Amino acid sequence: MEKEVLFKQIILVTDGESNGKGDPMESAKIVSEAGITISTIGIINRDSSEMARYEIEQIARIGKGVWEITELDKLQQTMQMVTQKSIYQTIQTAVNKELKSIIDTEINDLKPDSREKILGLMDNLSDSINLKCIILLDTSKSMVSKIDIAKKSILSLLNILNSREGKSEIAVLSFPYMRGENYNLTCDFTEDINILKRSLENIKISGNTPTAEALYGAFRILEGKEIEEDLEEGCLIL
Amino acid sequence: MEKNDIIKGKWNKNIYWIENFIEKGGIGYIYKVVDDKERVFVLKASKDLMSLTKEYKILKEFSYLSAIPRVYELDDGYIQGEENHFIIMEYIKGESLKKYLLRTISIKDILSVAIIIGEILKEIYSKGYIYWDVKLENILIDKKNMMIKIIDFGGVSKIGQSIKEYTPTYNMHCWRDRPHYDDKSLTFSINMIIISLLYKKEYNPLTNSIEDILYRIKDSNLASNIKKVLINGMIGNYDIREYTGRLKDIIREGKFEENKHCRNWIDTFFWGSIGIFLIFIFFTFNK
Repeated sequence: MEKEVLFKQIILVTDGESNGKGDPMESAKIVSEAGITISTIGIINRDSSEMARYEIEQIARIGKGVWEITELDKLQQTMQMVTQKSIYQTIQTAVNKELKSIIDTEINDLKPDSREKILGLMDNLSDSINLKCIILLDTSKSMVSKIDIAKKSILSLLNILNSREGKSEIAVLSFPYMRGENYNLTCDFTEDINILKRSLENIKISGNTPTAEALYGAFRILEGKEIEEDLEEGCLIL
Repeated sequence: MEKNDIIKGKWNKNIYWIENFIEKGGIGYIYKVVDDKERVFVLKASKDLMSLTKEYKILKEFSYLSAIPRVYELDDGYIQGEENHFIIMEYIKGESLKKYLLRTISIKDILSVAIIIGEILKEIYSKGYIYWDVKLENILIDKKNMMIKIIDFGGVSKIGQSIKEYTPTYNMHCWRDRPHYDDKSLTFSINMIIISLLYKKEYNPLTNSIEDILYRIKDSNLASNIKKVLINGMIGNYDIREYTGRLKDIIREGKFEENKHCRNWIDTFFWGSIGIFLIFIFFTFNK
């Protein structure tokens, strides 16, 4: 059986700081140790608190992902860029580790024409690996005016990711959910834009921002269903 | 970086002096520089090794096309104390098409520009690549030499590989649920360039729907064959070869607008009946 390479990522999209129970940095650490990359996108501006900015940066740092601050209308490009970058970053880390052990050097230390070939290979690899990406979408009260554009952005993201050679699946977990629940799996992993579109219609806005719990939720969804699959298919987690 | 700051290549050892900062691009910074023989170049610096290396490779591969900037070298160097990668390219004196959003430009000129861009992208496509990041800023008009140049090749992908850099307005995937991943999507992008220049406005898929644009085309006084091409290009009915062919047909026919005064029989009927009414009044009061 052919070995498949799977890249698992959580993208946290938020417009403020966590104010639920628990420490999101703690959750990020546990999720990251399981081999899942966490990237973060902050739709924040100058008026946003220092804490929000700090959290967005720290969670991505701990999650070995990429973080970006963006304006709302650039959200979809930012999501695509963050996904692309974090795949590259992960591959590059792996390649650098190999190079280090074979010839005691890193890709940046190679001459431009020698690294051209390696970069070509990395580019092909980044395109052919399978991708499971769960978007952790902040649906707290402050997101009211932003949610429609966020939904459209997620739809376009799937269309763009579908241009990859490898399989790209997106899931959406919104947090918080109604009646005091911390999060809700709005859409399970899918490649189908119509399923995603229909699911996104069910998003409700309410409450505060329980980031820590939501990260655990995404972790459970990514891992829970997959542990057996991994053993059967011999998946390799980067 | 300021004027006369120096960038020295780590590998090829060439030295460049900064003339001025040009702009911040998607992946890095662009400067006008001179070398020790007073030759002027563009230096594009970035930390994105992947994108920059790819741009260099593509520009080399297509160096036989006069419509893209010549590329000279790829090297590493320190910029503002940080290690960066950079490429050295031909300096092009030209204005981007974005400037033409504020100017009048005839329909014939718009279509001619679209044909030229179409031919360039068709050539790149025929060699196995898709230029995804079509936008007004990436198309330069060099009036002095009467040339059109396309810049920014970091977002070019092999056919069948993923889209890396794009702009929502010109990207079919941001407008439609079922997009195309081949040259039909190039057709869509060029079509949107025409629409932006015609209506002096860059439509945004986050706030507009494709129907808004289709309605505007249908309701305009463009010649019916132009309407047909624009609408079909939008829907994704043409590959790039057919599309440029249709545009050339329009230029050959030379009809760009319908007559504004008498758009259809309803107008004729309307003015006719007002005329009869006036004649009736005239005779009534002259008795």
